[in-house]
Order: sequence, then C-alpha cells, then structure tokens
Amino acid sequence: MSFRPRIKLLAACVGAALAQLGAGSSFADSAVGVDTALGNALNPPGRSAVPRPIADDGYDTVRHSPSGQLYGQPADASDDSTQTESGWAYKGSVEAGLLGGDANKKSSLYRQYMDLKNGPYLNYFAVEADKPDSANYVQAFGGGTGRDDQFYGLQFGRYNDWKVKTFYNETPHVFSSDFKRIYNSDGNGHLTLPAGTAGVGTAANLGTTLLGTAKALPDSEIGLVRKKGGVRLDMNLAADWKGYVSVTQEKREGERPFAIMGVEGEEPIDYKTTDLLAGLQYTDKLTAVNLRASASLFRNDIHTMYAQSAIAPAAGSATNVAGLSTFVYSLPPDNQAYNLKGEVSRKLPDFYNGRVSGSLAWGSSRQNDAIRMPLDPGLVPNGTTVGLTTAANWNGTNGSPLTRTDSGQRIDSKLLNLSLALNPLDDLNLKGTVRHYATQNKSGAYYSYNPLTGEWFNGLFNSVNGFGTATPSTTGAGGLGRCQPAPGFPVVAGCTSAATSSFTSYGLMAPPRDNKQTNYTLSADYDLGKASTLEGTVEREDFSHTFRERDKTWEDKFTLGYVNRSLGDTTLRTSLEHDSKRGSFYDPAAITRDIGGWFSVYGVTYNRAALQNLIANAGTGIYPALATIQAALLSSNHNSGGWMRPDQADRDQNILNARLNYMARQDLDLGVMAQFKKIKYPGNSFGPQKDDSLSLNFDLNFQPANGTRVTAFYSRQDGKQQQIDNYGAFAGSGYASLLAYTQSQCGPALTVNNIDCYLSNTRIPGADITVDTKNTNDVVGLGLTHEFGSMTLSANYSYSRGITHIVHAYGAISLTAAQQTAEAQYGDYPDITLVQNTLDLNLLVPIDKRTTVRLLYRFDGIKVRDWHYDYYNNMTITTFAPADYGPQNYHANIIGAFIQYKF
Amino acid sequence: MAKNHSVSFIRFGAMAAAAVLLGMLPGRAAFAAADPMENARIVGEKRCGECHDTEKNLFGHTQHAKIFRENPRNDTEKAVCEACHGNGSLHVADTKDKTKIIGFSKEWGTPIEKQTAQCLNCHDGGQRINWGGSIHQRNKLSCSDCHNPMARFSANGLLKKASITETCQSCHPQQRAEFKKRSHMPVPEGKMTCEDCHNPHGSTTKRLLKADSVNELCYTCHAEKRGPFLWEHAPVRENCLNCHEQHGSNSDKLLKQSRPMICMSCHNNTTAMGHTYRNAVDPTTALQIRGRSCQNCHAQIHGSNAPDGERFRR
Repeated sequence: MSFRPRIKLLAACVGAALAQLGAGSSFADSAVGVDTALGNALNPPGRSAVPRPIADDGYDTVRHSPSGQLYGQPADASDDSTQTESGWAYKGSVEAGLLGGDANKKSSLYRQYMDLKNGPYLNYFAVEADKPDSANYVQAFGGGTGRDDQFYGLQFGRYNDWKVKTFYNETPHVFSSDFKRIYNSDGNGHLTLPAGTAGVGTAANLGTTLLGTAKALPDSEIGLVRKKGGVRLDMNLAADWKGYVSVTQEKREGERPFAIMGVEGEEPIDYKTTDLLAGLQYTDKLTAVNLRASASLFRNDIHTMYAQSAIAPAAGSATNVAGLSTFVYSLPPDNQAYNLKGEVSRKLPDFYNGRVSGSLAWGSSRQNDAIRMPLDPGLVPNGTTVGLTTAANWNGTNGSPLTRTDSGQRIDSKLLNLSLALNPLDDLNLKGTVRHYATQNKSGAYYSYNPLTGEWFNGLFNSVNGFGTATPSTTGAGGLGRCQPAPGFPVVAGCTSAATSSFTSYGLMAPPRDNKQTNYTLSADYDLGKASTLEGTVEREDFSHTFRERDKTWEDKFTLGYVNRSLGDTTLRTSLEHDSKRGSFYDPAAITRDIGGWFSVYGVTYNRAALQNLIANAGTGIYPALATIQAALLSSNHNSGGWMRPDQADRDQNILNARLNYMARQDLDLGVMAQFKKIKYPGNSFGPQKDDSLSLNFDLNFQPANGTRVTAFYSRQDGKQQQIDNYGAFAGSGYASLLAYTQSQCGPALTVNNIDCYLSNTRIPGADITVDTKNTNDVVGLGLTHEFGSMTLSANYSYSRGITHIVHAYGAISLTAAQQTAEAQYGDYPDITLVQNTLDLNLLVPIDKRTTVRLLYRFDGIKVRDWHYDYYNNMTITTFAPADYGPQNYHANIIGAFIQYKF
Repeated sequence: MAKNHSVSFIRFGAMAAAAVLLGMLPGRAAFAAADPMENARIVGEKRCGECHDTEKNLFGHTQHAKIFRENPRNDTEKAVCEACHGNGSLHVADTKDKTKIIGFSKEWGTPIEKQTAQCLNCHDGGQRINWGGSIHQRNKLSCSDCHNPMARFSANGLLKKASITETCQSCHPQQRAEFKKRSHMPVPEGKMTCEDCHNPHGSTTKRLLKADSVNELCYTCHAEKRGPFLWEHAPVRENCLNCHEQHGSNSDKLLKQSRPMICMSCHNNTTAMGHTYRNAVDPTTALQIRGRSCQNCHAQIHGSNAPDGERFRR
C-alpha cells in the first residue's frame, strides 16, 4: 500500500475515520440489558461530533481486517491534555451553535425519533480525566441539551478494578403530527366528546356525526417520550471473579392513538418501568460461570380509560338509541417479571480438546390487577339496563358478577441448554446441543360467566349492538347456555335442563396456554485447507402447545456451509439451509376440543369431535336435527383443514446466504452479500401460500489517501407473499351453492365418517380471491470525506425507496354483481410508497488549534403514500371517524453553525 | 401426519449419522504443528516502539493501554504489546517471518483460531461464555473482524468503527437497508444499537439474542405488552415475530404485512375480510380497511385485561 505520510491537520471530519473523546460510552454490556446507545440523530452513539485530526502517519497503519475490510484511518493520539498538581490529566471538548431553516418541521416521520428545533443548540460536550498513578479515571459526556432526544453519561472508576456508569437518555416517539383531537382528554383516562355532540342511535351514523367535526379540527402532534436513567457498578471481586449490579428506571409519558369502536381518540400513557440486575462471573483457565438475577417492575398509573361514545344501547334491549354512553377500557396492567440464570462452561483439554456447557434459567411474569366490573356503576346509559336482566347483577351492586375478582395471571418459563463440543481431529470440530424452553401458564382458566345470572358475556357493545350475552335456557330447547355454568359454579336457580353440548352454544374461556420447545442440534465443521471450512448442521425442533390448533409441530433443519478466507484476496462465506416443518392434526377449534367441546374463544367453532357427537345424536333429546347441523356448518365457509395459520402450518423453507469480501486494491475493498429465501406452505389449499424474499447488497470502501475516504453501497430487497382468501358469504348464491359443492365432494349427507371431508370443503374454489403482496426496496448510500488544506468536507447522501404492491385476482364467483361493479370502478389498491432522500454536508474550518467552526447543511425529504389514510376527505362511510390522518410528505432544509472548542 | 413425522425423523437421523461419519474422516493434519513462537521471550513495550512508533502512539489512548500501563493484573498485561501479539524476541530476530509474531490483519495471516485464542486468554467467559459454536465462530470470524484495539476508533469496546451499529452493518448490509424502511427501530436516530438485542459473542438463543426468547427480549422495552393478560392472543404470546419484523418494514408498526392482510393471514372467515376486495380509493370502503384496519375496533390486540376482552376490543 503506497501510503504517504501527511502533515498533521488541525481539522478533521465528522466521520467514522475520526476517533472519540470519551463519547457515548454504553451502559449495558453485550450479554445483558439494553441501553447500549447514548446519542441522538446528530450524535450517533460512540461518535463525537467534535472532530479530532487524523494522526501523522496514521494512514500507514491502515490494514484490512481478517475478512478483508479496510480499517478506518486513526485519529491523532498526541497528548493534548492538561495536567493538574494532583496528578490528574484532563481534556474536553464542546460544540454549540445555532440550528435554523426547517429544523422545526412538523411531520411524524421527520420527528419520529428525533427532536430538532430552530434556535441555540448545545450539540455535544465531553470531558475525561485520568490519574495514571492511581489508575483512576472519570468520563462525562452529553448532547442535545434541552431537547426530547437529549442524553448524558458519566463513568468513573479505576482501570482493571471497578467502574460506575450512570446515564440519562430521552427518546421521543411521535405517532402522528396531523392528529384531530375529536375527544377532550383530561390526561388521566377520561375522554369526553365535544360539548353538544348528539347521540346518533346507530353506529352507521357515527361517522356522519363526528367525521365533519374531525375534519374541521386543527392538526396536532401525538406521541410520547421515553425518559430513562440508571446506574451500574462493575467490579473485579477477586482474581477470577467479577460482579455487577445495576438499576434503571424508565418513565414513558404521552399519548398514543387508540380506536374507540370506529372513533379515534388518544390513550394517555403514564408508564414507569424499573429494572434491577445483578450478576457474578467466574473465569479461570478451564471453567467459566455466570450467575444472574433480574427483576422488571412495570407500573401503569392509568389502569382504566373511560371514553364517551355517540351511540348508546336502549334500556332493556340489545339495540341502540340516540344518546351518549361510556365505553370502558382496561389499559395495560401493572406487571412484574423475574429471571434467574446460571451458565457454566468447562474446557475438557484431555477429552478431544472439548468443552461442555450448560445454561439453566427460570423466569416468571405476573400481574394481578383487579378486574373491573363488566358494567361500571354510574356508567350505564340512562341509568338503567343494557339489554340485560338487571344492571345491579352486572355492576357489583348485588355482588361480584365475575368468576374471579383479580387477574391472577402468571406465566413461568424455563430454559435448559446443554452442549458438548469436541475436536476429535485437529481439522474437525463437532458440537451437539440440546435446548429446551418452556412456558407454563399457572393462571388457571378464566370464564366470562356471571354467576349471579348464569349468563355468559362477550363484551359491552358487541360491534354495533348491546351487551352480548348467552342467556340460560330453562326449557332445554333453543337459546344459548343451556344451564351451563362455568366450572365450579352451580346451575342458577330455575334452570333445570341438564348440561349438554350444543352446536351453537358456547361459553367463553381464557385458556391457560403452555408451550414447550426442544431443539436438538448436531454440527460439524471440517477444515478443508488452511483457511477453508466445510460445515454441516442438522437440527430437530419439537414444539408442543396447549389450546392451539395443533398439539405439536416439528421441524427438521439442514444447513451446509462453506467458508474460504484465502481465495486470493477474497473471503467467501456461504450457507444453504433447508427446513421442513410438519405437525399433528390441525383443528381450528382446538379450544373446544381441549376442554370438552363446549367452550370457545372465537365464538361458534367447528370441532370434529363435537360435531361427531352432535351427528350421532341428531334429532334426539335436545340435539338439533341433522339438517340443522348441516345447514349451520355450511352457513358460511371457514378455515378448517385447508387453511393452516402460518405459525402452525406445514412449511418448507430454503435459504441461501452468500457473503463475499474482496480486497480489490490495498486501498479499496468491495463487498457483496446476498440472501435468497423461499417459503411454501404445502399443506394449505388456501390461506397463506408462499413467502419469498431476495436481498442483494453491494459495498465499496475506498481510502486513497490520508484524510480521504469514499464509501458507496446499494441494497435491493424483494419480498413476495401470496395468500388465497375465500369469503363464503359472498360466494355464488350462498348456502345453496356451498351445499351443492360440498355434497359433490363429500356425499349428500353429513355423517360421522365424512366429517373431515365436510370440514375441508366448506369453501368453493371458484370463490377464491388470490392476494399477492410484493415489497420492493432500494437503498443507495454515498459518502465522501476529503480534506482541503486545513478544511475538511464530509458529505453523506442516501436514497431509500420502498413500494408495497398488492394485487387481487378474483375467482369467477368470488364477487357479487355489485362488488364487481365497485371493483371495476376503483381498481386495485394503489401502491404504498415511501421515497426518502437525505443529504448531510459538513464543512470544518479550523480557526486555531483549539477552535473549529462547523457548518452544517442537512436535507431530509420524504414522499409517502399510504392508502390506509388516503381519501379521508372523500370518505362517505358512516361508521368511521378517524383522528390520525396518516404520515405526511415533508422537505426539510436545515442549516447549522457551530463552534467546536477543545480544552 | 404420523407418516410425515416418521419420515422427518428418519431424515434427521440420517443426517445425524452422516455428521458422525464425517467426524470419522481423517483430518488434514493428524497432529498439531509445533508452535513457532514456543521459545520466544518477552522483549517489552519499549523495544516494540523502536520500530512501531506510530502504532505505539495511537495505541496509547486506548483502554487496553490504560489498563496495561496503569494497573496491570498480571505479567501478561504488564507486557503491553506482547500481551496480545505474543512474545516478540523471535520476531525481533526475524521481522519477515510472519509466524514469529501474532498479527490480527488479513495481510499478516495469523490463523483465525490463534488470533481468537489470544484474545480469549483474557476475555474468556463472561459475555463470551457462549462464543464456542456461535454463528460468528462457526463462520470463522476473528475478534479483530469487529475490534481494532490499535487505536481509539470507538468510545468503548475497542471497535473497528466508531459505533456498534456501524461495526455490525459492515457485514450486515441487509439490516442497514431495513433500518431505512418506513417503520424501523430507532437505530439510525442513535437511540438503539444492534447490541440492545443481540450478543455478537454468542448466545443460547438463536439469532444471538440477549434473552431466552424473542418475547422476553421485546418485553425489555415494551413491558406494557408483557402481561400476562386475562385474554391472551396466542400467536402474540408465543412470538412477537409472528406479526412484526424486527428491524424495519414498509408497513406501519413494523408489521410483516399491511393491515388488514397481516390479520387475514390467520383470520379468514370474519366480517372484515369481506371488505378487502374494495380498495381504499372507494369512498365507501369500510372502517375495517382504512386507518388501523382491524385495530379500529380490536384495539387491544396484544391482549386484554377486561372481563369481556375476549375479542381484544376492551
């Protein structure tokens, strides 16, 4: 490499090539905890905005990493610190100035995670002190002072002995900047409609009443700010022992959009999360041990939200009348999580140069908030009943209408990981691992059952009607409930019918779900040459669930990898992976099956065992006639059999990864990275069909001279997803067509024996609608850093374009005539697009050895279109009054002038 | 299904057997070669600086230098340069022989395993307890593919780049592109780094995650979604990534697909699904499509603690 030493420059650039001055030290370590970033948009973590000159001869030290990537050019390391009489040496820097232009731009995408404003700005400061004779040190830094993305860090301690880290960091999160505040919020969970808002009687008129109001409202910003601080102590306890302890607390305050049955309001956010962490580490020549304990305590100061609605249920019925009522929401409950973890690793030098490792962890997440009444006292519209027998039986007046008064939720988790690695030959490494992770819900089932009335309930204002209940029948014929109390509760007085399964009756249970996941992995890598390796891995994953569509799924994974670091000046890493996932019988009514054929969390479900029981007893006792069962089954299509949900579905997956690094010249490296992924769901005759993606990336890094660096990259990503939908209610002429089709496939009559066929064919393929979603992304980046005499210019440009293209293909009988007319008139969905251009220009002009002027120009522009928010102004539907009018285009030209001073 | 189960298990067994057989193949070298530096002695930092003055000056401001010079814990650390590069006497005698000193650059060519072992002499255990067999180790990365302790390139961690994120993205450009998408984690804005979620030194959880499961990791910052709730949404409880992309997405809220399509991937036979044929240009398009789509009513989709929250509306 023909590096020529150059004279030391007073100025430097704001680039990766420059070194730091105690900047942005992270709080957490790489194994546990977050908060590894202390910075903001103008001060990326770890990088100081305050420049340091490039070192004399520093360019001569630039080499390539073992994979062939150029290291950066090091900064000057001459000692410019100030000595004190007590032996401390200190130095520091500060950058302050003005921001102007469009820094105040209001747009949710622009302001999402940063807070730039016009005016005076303390961009950055840092100071560090070191006392060599005692090895003590202090570092402090911060930036963005006074803004919502400000950050500060302080670290002190003794090298190789102990250290204390403290930090404070704020992160804004703006959700919308064109939010229409339809509701008046007191910030404590009470949302009221504007004075004079009249009740509309039906949800169908809701939008008519409030949409006009919303459109006339000014835009406002809605978001929250995370404010987090913490302290951590790390200490070498003995020769082989280290310990650490930390505590952090985060406060989140603000609002987020929250839909109140078609009318958007704002949920107040007042969260506080406290995290405690302590650990011990032991390491000697053969053995390493990690012990860790953590606790996370989440507190929400607003547990319940009360929001007015312009629709109200009529007294004593399930229909609506004009008037205002109040909807009540349970907001996230207080919760706490605990975790204990131990890890042990021991080398086995006398046993094939092996290593055995084990990890054991236990965790528990808990919450026990009081459950609010189904009907809150004083909130019943008109002070009377809501389609119910007696309000006093629902609002606590006559005792608890709940099967439990507190949530009592607890999920425990366990992790066991054992691995053995051996080197039976110098060129061969073998490793076997067994990993078992399980969660156990210890909460017990919750039943939404009112023991005072014997009714099951599924929600105040079930969509557009009143309180959804299942009224107990005293006759045993028709109706819902059939005197079925929740387990542990007696049959209500006056109900004499025996508890019996019914095709259309169901109770509502929150099932306590458990999961177990076990992975068996065996891998081998074999050195083919000095720097090339062939690797193979086989893995088996067994996953068992309760109260899910499948009891078990299992996946076999095979990976073949090849690494060559000596293909001339090239390093190549490739791998090919094939995965095959299958599972046990897929039952979309798993809840019903698991608890005896009566309960459901999704309403009416189709369960094989329950249906077989109904068919076997059809027409006898309380059981409906066979024709009734068949008609109910075919009343609409459903996703039995042919549609497996993607997380439970059979899946074939192939992934090809390739990564190449090429040292084209001594001052130039090139990189190419590609990933092809193909996913198919072979068990789905409809539903999710495939999910393919392609990622291509090209990188260039050119450092032709001291103080000069050119970077460029291009990334392309393509994603294709396909799904087949089928809306039975819209297919052909409805029931008759569906019945005819199913009978043609399964026989004229529903029987115990052909139930699977019926379950899998309650869909007419001609009514299929195929939905193809294509995501395309292009990203280009260009960077230049160059020194002109004593001045330094840095320029970084990026272009990003994302397109989501959705296409529907309709089966011959998938749409009614009216629907076909609408489809022909409006066509398919317009693309969701986002194009962003950013340009950062920095010019550094040194004034003297300590002072530099930095001139900043930043352009940030986004053009976005999202059909979710399109055409609100033309909307004629009457059931919807949105408040968030979606992301906005913006172009921001920001200028800044700063003085940088080193001391 | 049972047949598939058996077939899969047979395939797994066959592959496992093949791996064992592979293990029985003779290696390229049956015995370890003698260490060419075995008889080297320490020459001291001063001697190194006679030829490597620039490196010495640049190194002087690093954390390693502070530790080694100001408070060394053992003789290895007292050796400063040779703590990492190995004893230098043979290198002094023959500077051209690259086997006589440990180098950490591609140009020098010291075997990766030897480089890594040298670092682990001091840094074994702790955060690196799961380094062996990790995806980075299996792909033959050296510590110095991410770290460069010869100068102060980063505030801490002795990284090769100024920040954790830049260091990771030098090999993971796909993620760099994903962070440029419409919805993304606040990594480009400097409020997160890759290491908030991943431990590049190894983990017992796939994707080098810093927690025992994806959800436990996500709850670290999203504790309000941890619950457990009275009414749990099963796929939400099992894995946040059933619905969300982890780095960035063209869709709002890091969703894997736009709403309502993401909901429809599981829920076919619902009222809302009958409306999707009609695009948002149509002024009569239903509230199930516009805005937050399904969440216009099912606002508590991560779980509900209401007694009647079965459908996640309360």
